[in-house]
Amino acid sequence: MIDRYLEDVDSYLQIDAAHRRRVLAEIEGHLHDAVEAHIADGIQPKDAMRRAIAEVGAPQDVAMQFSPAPPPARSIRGWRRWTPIALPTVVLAGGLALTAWNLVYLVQHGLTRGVQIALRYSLLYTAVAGALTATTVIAIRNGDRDAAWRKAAWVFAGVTGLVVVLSYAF
Amino acid sequence: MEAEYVRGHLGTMILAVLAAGPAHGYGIGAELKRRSEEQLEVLEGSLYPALHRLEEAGWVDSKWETQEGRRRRSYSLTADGKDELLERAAKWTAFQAFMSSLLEAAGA
Repeated sequence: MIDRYLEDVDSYLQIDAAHRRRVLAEIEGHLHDAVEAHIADGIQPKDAMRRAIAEVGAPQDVAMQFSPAPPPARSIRGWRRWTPIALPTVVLAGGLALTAWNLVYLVQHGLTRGVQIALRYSLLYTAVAGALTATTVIAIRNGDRDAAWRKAAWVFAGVTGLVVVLSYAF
Repeated sequence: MEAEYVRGHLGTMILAVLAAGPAHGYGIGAELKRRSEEQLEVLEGSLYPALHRLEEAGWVDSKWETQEGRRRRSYSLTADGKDELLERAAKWTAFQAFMSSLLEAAGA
């Protein structure tokens, strides 16, 4: 019963091997001492074991107390918190430049079928980049830098995907 | 004695028990139970993490010993641990005086 309990504690421990050996040896010694004391008080050996284990606590609860506390999330202040916006901004700027170039082409050459298609897709590209850039900005303003990085990655992946789709459409 | 009260003061309780002399984990738990007249509600599994934290802080020292054919980790108070215990005792006394005056004023 004690061996099984120790195996359970061991399965939940998230500490290095040396500390793990020490913890398990200490708990094992504690349980044997407790069983001995309960038997001396007139309790049957099996019940003494059950009681000793209950007094130590559930394996998961015991193991959890040995795990190092997760470090607090770093608070990033100043311009560095805006770094996730760099990539979406470049992608969005590309979309705006492409749209502007198509508009210039439209003014110079009139509305041809090719210009119409190019303009439609460049506007779509810019809209997707803009929407995702906006959500990245919101995430940064809310202080969730990790979420902001995820949004930035979505901008890149989303717009790259759109470019691939458009390249086949043409 | 409510577990909530115990949790925040377990380290101080352990230091106080060790002030009387070295002891192993089971012995510390048994002594705490005895001194609280079996009123103490502390899961014994909490003792070891607390002991390890006290050791990391340098307030407690430990070594393996063999007693009656069984290996046990014996804990003792360091000089820094004695200072820490005195400091905690002073803070506790001040807090106790404050709480007593507050409750007395409330007629409780």
